[in-house]
Amino acid sequence: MDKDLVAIGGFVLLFVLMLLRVPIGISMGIVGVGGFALVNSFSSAMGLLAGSPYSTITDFNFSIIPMFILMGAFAAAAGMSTDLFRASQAWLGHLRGGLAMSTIVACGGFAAINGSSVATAATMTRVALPELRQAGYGPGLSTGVIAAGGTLGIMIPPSVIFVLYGIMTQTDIGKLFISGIVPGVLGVLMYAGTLQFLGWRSPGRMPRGARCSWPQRLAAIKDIWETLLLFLFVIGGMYAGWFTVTEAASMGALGALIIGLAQRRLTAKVIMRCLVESLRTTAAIFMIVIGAYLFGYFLAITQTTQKLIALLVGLPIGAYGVLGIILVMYFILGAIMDELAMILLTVPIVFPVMMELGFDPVWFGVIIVMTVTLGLICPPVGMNVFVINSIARDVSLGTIYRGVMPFIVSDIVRLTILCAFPVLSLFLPRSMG
Amino acid sequence: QDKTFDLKFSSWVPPAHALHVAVKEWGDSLSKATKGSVKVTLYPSQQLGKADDHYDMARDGIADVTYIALGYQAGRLPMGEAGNLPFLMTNADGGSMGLDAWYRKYSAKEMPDVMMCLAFVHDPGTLHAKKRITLPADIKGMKIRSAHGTMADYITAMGGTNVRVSAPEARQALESGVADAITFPWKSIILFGIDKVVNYHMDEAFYVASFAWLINKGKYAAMSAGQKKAIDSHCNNEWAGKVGRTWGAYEAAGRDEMRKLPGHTVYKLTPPQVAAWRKASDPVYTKWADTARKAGWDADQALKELRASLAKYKAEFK
Amino acid sequence: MERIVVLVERAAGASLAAVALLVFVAVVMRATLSINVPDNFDFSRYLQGIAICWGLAVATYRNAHILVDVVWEISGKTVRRAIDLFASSVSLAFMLAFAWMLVERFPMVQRAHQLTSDLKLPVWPFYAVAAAGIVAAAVVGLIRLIELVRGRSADPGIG
Ligand code: NA
Ligand code: NA
Repeated sequence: MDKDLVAIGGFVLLFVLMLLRVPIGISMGIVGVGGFALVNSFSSAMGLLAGSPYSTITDFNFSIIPMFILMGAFAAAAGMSTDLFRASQAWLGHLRGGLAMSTIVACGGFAAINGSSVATAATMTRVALPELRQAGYGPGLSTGVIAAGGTLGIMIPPSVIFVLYGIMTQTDIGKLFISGIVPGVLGVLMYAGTLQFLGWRSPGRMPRGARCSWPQRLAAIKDIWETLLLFLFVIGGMYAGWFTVTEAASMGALGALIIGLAQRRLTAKVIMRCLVESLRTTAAIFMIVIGAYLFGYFLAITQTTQKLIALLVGLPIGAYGVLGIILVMYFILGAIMDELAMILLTVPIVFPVMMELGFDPVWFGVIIVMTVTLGLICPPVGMNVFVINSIARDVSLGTIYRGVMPFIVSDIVRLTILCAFPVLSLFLPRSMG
Repeated sequence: QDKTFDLKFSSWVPPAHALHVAVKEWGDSLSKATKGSVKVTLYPSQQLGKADDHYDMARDGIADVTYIALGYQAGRLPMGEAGNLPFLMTNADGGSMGLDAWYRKYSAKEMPDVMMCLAFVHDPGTLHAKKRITLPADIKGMKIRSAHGTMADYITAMGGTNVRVSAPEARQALESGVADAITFPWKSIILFGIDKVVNYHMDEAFYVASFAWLINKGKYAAMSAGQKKAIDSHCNNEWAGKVGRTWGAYEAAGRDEMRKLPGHTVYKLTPPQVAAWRKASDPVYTKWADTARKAGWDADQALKELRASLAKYKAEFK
Repeated sequence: MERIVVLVERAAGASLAAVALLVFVAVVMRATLSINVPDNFDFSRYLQGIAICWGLAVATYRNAHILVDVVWEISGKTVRRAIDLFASSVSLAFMLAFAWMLVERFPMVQRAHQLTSDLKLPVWPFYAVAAAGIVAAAVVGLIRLIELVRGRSADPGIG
């Protein structure tokens, strides 16, 4: 059968299955294995199903994902997210939109000790949303600010998306992590700027909180030492040569557990809850990873991957023209699709194109994370928005999407800045040689 | 009229790798020998599966031709792992032919569900470290990234610890100090930028990694007599040497390059020092022989034959 | 059923913790005493495989896979039921094929005689425990489909 036709048919079937509520990973797996059977042979497709998933889930490199998730779960249960929020509030609460800005800063802080944006959004919803609402912020704004702040979870290291990108493209994960720091901090500043802009347009939407005294501020700062310690231990230990990047995730998970235990904030029951929660997230993520690999092998054997690469590289519009097309494609895909699946399916095609055109692999990692960031909050399928909606049942999806809109604009501006000035992402990793 | 075949060759190295050149050469030559009735399409960079899965992939027909690192999966191919023993052979050229000639006898039994086309080795790699290492005792307390399981066993036997990182992660591990040394072929050190973080290189044929080229049995069976003949003439000792030579020359050039690189020390060992290293490798030979014996092989006899075969092709480490 | 699932979930969660602990101990021993913890690498990755396989079984029970709800949300009751039946059947078919292949492959894995790197222990027991998780996922999927056909709700109300 014609390979191009099978590939196109595969994509169509994939979207039909997903829209009919077949889990995303399973949809990709079915089309991948089925397509492989059509193009190659039935027995080889069954061999693929018997071999590939098991080899994926027993890949030690992938342990980074469950371990950083576990680290975030322990850190949240140990109250580090609450402490971060309190400290930010003590310093920023009295400003216009102070509590919303505190939320952004706390999101940035919590991002430094966990690897997932969805986890950051979920945690901060529990910590900050009730207080935001009580302080008089509208339902849209208060959820929108958390949805946007949550995306910092994957830009500020550690980050699951950087890990996946690093594994897929064989790019140094340590360098990728460091490259996310400046864009992440830029994100915090730009989100805060967005809030100030909104407050300037309609001051009523941005109440001020009470001013904290200096002793109160210093006391609050003292409470975030656990977060700092954990961050320094994980990131510092990696660069000091105590452990490898892959091992760092497990070290962080156990480090968070130890800190929580030392503070008597983690009981056996709470630890078990963290483990079970992390297991659920891990299983859900790995179903997609498994499916994406199966689908990817199918695309490779139809040579769709190779053809698309050749097509994109050959476009007579210059490197930045191709980059523009790719970014628009990501914007559309990110809006309608699960971001993890999007990355796993597209990076094998897009990365070689970018390298061929002379772009930097680490910089492109940052750009990929930015596209995921946008996808996580863009309607109609934004995972961060879904997660907040599942916790705050009284705020409708539409309201959250309206609330997050200004931040989408801010992210598009940030993406443009990062494209125009690669040095913002690259000077830190380059300075480490 | 022969049926036409489009053989999918899955390779885990990227197109820039020297082995890719050998793979391409093999495919083009095969296509020519069959007057185009057998085409070979390359899928480099693990497009069809992870490196460790390539044996199963050839068996199941996910790809029609692949190659595997013998010893990536401990215990699975004990005889194939013999080629990985330290201080065994001195060059890729004769080493590949010597190993290939010897391994054919065992591969049929060890790999019953694939057809082994040929076996080959890379140019001898060595220890690259942040300090000068001259005696096995120097290894004690060092953290080392090993090329394969046999090397890891060797390092452990000398009192070192193993750091398990992928080749791309190796540079970062050495730079940060998670690892102090690495066993690697010469040119690859430069290719991965590891020369920026290690500057002492022992100029001895410390070890090789051995590989086997595999073909799916069903595909071969489905071919015409003429096509099978063409495959057979590309799956012989001569081609084993060719593949070993192509990759080997590339890696070996790295040694000369390293000598000229400023700030790098490339040093020889004295005969007594070499003897000490070989003595220190006894436990690894014993461990290998035990595993091979458990799998039903006469390990001592086999090793003797391997050495003889390597000697025949002028690659035995003396 | 719920009690069994909770137990499985805890055991699988504990294997995740075991991975973290193994790596932690290995790193500390290496950094401080230059001691290899034998097979920490293989043990942790195979434990991870087991945790994920059983995690998939639990995710199937709790309907916790990541999926796209857009069409389902805007559909009426009958269409929703049709979608649920379709999605569950298709998912079940995949899980059955997956489980079947792992089981069928088992003798081959045993024969291949692959060992762990340091202690040279056979790896097939890890494979067997992981494969059992996928078999459990298929069984759970089947039970859920039967419940769905009988008219019970698609969600057990947890998760
Ligand atoms: Na993070
Ligand atoms: Na989206």
